[in-house]
Amino acid sequence: MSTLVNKKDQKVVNRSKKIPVIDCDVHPNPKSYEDLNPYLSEYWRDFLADCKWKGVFPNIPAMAIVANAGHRMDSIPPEGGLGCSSLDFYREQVADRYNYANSILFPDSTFMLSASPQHEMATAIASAYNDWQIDHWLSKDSSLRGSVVIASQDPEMAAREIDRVGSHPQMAQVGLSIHSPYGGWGDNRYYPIWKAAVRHGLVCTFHVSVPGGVFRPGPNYGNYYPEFQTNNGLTYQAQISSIIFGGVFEKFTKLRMLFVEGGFAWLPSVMYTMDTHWRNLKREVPWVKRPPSQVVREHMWFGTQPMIEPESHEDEKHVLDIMKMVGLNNFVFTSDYPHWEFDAPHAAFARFPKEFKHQIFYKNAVDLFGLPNPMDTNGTN
Amino acid sequence: MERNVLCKKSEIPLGESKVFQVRRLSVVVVRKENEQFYAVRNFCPHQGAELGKGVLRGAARANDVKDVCYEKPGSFLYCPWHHWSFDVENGCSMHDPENTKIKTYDVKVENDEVVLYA
Repeated sequence: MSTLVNKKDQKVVNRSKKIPVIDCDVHPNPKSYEDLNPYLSEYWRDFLADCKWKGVFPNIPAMAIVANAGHRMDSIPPEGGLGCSSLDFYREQVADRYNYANSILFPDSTFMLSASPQHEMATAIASAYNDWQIDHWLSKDSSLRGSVVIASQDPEMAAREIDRVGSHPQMAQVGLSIHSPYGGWGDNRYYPIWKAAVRHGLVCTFHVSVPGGVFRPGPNYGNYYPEFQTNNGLTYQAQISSIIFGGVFEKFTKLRMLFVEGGFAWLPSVMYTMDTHWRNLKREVPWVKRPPSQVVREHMWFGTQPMIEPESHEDEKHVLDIMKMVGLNNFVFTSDYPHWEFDAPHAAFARFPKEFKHQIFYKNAVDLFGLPNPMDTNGTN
Repeated sequence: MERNVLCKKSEIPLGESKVFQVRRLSVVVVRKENEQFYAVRNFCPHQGAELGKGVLRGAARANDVKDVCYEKPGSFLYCPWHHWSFDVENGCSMHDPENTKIKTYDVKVENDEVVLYA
């Protein structure tokens, strides 16, 4: 067995058996929310204790299938705690088992913080999560990369948080919710966030989330979990259109975005439709200089999960055709561990060509996040 | 190429256009604010709408996001169906000038008459 790295704080990447994997959507949790206390000021520590704060799921509807906080039933470590709350257990259950070279962490459910109407509290919690993430995960395994958790309700405060921790050498992205707190993500109120992300060379990553506030707007929220899962793509479509036509990438030419857990089969249709209306109605959005499909390919990446798992060779061809329409360089592997929708890499992609798997499992992520190539014999990871 | 007298110059006001039938050709003649005349085929290559029923405007240009102005005002015919737009000076589409064009014709003012050569 040949190995690339064999440091005490890292797992071994096996080059002779399985294709290495960079998982771009892993959700670590604290053992309990009290683990965040050392990173909160006395005021916010008392505030959260007094209001019996139980994590960042307050707006999630009660859906039986996700009763275990949306986690795989077997993701709780032997010693207890929330799913994916033990680095050792994570390595054993997922990272080592599937030959992970790197994992991009997005602290669990922090993408719900932007749904909170209490901006200051959400900002304090986001900040605590960042320090906890650095202390409990990043500093213990150099193959891990982190997300700067923000509360995007207040873009100026969010930008300050990005400046505070964004230059940490293992921070790879800014973690965002696909539901935007005020208007679409293309709105110029969010410019401070994009500006700060570019300043620190961070990818802006959007995760499936829920809308905020006390009401449930629109049909894309749904009553049932299958409905929620099915309709997630609608929000992604609307936000991508908002970002493109809002001219975000004309203003921030170095900005890169990753969209995870929204699927991708709808993308060719959205790209075609955006191009059509851009060509015809450019008079309204003349700041968009290039066809939207080109902007998508240059600035946007997409997580594979929830993966369309082909059930026949004909299906496999169709899935590949869809991905080629978008651009094979624009997909990265995402498992969503420990969430209920977890995709096991070598099972979900079993029917796909080997070269394609190399591209999806690690090559594209290496390019997107500037990571060392795990197949480079001279590289270190 | 035949010489076709279309109308008196004064019949097309400044900044406006008029459609003429010349044999089997339907042609839009544009009189720009600078007194220059241009003629293009009255047919949008997208889905066949009559361009002469659209509006004559400039090309929208942005100096920055949401900072918009017109470029070459009065030079672009906007299709009445789906807003495809064409530069009357060269027939080029605003958004795909290399590949999408409409036919242009020579048009001159001779003895106060608008004359099309086609």
